[in-house]
Amino acid sequence: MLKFDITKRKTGKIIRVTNKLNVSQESQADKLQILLNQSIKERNDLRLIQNSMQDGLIVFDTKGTVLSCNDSIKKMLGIKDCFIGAKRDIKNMGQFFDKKIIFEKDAPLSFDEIVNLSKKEIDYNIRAIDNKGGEVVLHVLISPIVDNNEVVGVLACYRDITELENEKRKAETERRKWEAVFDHTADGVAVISNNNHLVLGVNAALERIIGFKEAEVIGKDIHKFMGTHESDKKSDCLITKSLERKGDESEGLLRRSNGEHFWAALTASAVTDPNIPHKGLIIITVRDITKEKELEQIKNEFISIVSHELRTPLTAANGYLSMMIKGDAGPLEPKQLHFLNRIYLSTERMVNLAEDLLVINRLETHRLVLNIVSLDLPKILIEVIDELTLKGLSRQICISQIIPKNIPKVLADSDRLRQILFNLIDNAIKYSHNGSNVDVIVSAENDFVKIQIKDSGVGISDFDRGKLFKKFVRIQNELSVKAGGSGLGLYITKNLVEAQGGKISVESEIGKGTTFIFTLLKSK
Amino acid sequence: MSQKIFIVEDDAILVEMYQTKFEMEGFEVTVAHSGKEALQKLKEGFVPDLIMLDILMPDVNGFEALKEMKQEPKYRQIPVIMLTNLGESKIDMNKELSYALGVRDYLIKSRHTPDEIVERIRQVLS
Repeated sequence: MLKFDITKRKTGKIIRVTNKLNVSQESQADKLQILLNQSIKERNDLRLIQNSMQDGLIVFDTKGTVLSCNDSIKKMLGIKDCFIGAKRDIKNMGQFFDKKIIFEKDAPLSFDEIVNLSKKEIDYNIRAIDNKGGEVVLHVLISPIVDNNEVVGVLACYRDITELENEKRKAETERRKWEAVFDHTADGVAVISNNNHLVLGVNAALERIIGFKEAEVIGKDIHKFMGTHESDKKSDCLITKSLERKGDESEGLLRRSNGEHFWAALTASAVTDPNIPHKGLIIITVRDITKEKELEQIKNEFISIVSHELRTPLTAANGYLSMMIKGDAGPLEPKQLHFLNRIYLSTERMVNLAEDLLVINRLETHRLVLNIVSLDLPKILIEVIDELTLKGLSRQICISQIIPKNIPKVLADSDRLRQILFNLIDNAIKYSHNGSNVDVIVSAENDFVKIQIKDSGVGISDFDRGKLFKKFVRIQNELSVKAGGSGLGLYITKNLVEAQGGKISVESEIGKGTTFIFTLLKSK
Repeated sequence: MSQKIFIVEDDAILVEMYQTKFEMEGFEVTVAHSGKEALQKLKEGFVPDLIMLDILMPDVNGFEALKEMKQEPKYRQIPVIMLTNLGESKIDMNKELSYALGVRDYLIKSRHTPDEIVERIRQVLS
């Protein structure tokens, strides 16, 4: 048996242990103390780490007794003091918390169930509701603590996912909202890949319009089943046309599943997000415009027939009037002549209106035939000015022209160019005060020849300028009553200029006058 | 001797107006109210100096009548003025062939007074 002498300080610290054999065991005591200190330090460090974590932690032994928990879980669940050392089932844990705990339907209810899951991790969500109704959603991860292949305890980790769940809920609500819009919109919608035009999804409306089910077309080339182009030419593709026009509608014939062609209005918009696969998406909307086309055709035929049918009686009325005014039916009293002239002017207006309606009808149905040739603009301009000079002089209005030498020829239709010049110069005269001037100025610029018609008349307000080129618009001012007109002249003029490759604009100031400017392409 | 104008027009009022005017101007006027009637009169031996031909008529229209009458050698040289109120797109469809068959002009009836038409007739006949 060994005997020991133990030397201690006043504090009780062992400083020397010697045995009868005089072998010093001082270092062993130190080592013990060091180990003890280390152990305490490690425990304190662990506690510090535990309490620094944002996630909540509860440690159980294998019987379900709570061994420890960190500050975070205390805050999350409002844990009471009696929690540590408590041995309860998961289901009944709620009594230790200030908040009401609601488990998701798949959450395990028994502690034994957790331990008996043999070293597997399990997770579920719970909701903790305080007495003010404030709710947090926690994701719970239960892991066994394993030492030497034996479960020695259970660790429950709680993560606050309230914000994440709220975002998910919002995203889900948004998704359902847009899904409802996608499925219930009256227009057909297809989503295709940007790189190879394969169908990624179609809505119910498109299924009805085309006659295919979504499952039949997913992953297929949209052109193959919808006939968006009948040839390989890119220029024939309605989708390409619409994309080139930045999503503007393109009209054309599409094909249904039964082979029937129908008129459709199609828009295509590209979504080029680098995060989206297939190099982005193209969203296509399709409207079946068969009925609209039929109505348009009926309208055009009606206008054509009416205009033609109107022209015949007007021809007779105007013809007989002109003969009477000329004296072919005998001499007339001055008053009779005056009345007949008034009737003649009125029938002329009706003839012009019928004429304008026919031109508009042809313009809008793209049936206006233009004979574009290289023309001597100054020659035509001078002829039109000569025609209108008398009219101008009747109100002491002078028409002057500034036409430089060597003005290049222009590409235009002779009759339509005359019509444009006549409309604009005639308007300038109508809306000028007596005794004023109308100036016609021609200049050459880049690829265009520019023609300006200036008057120093009543001018047009900013508001009226915005609607000037629309149909049936007549600007109301002191001269408009006398000027007359159907309100179609500028609409026709604009369309005729644009049909010949030119542009038209207007500058004006109230009380100072107006300048109409239009361009024509230079003949090369 | 008066020059003979053959008016082929289905609208009775217009026929009366043009006939009155042309006769006042010294022309001798013969009238047919349809393409079929016009072809019949020509087959019976009538040879005018100028034909005023409407386009839109019942039974045989102006273009069809023109094609048929020009098959006959004695009518090939007779000048024709097409008088119509049809839209220009319909005219343009047949213009080239018509000019090849001796049509000298297309006049939109509503745009020209009887005086202007007489003026044009005189130009063509001269």
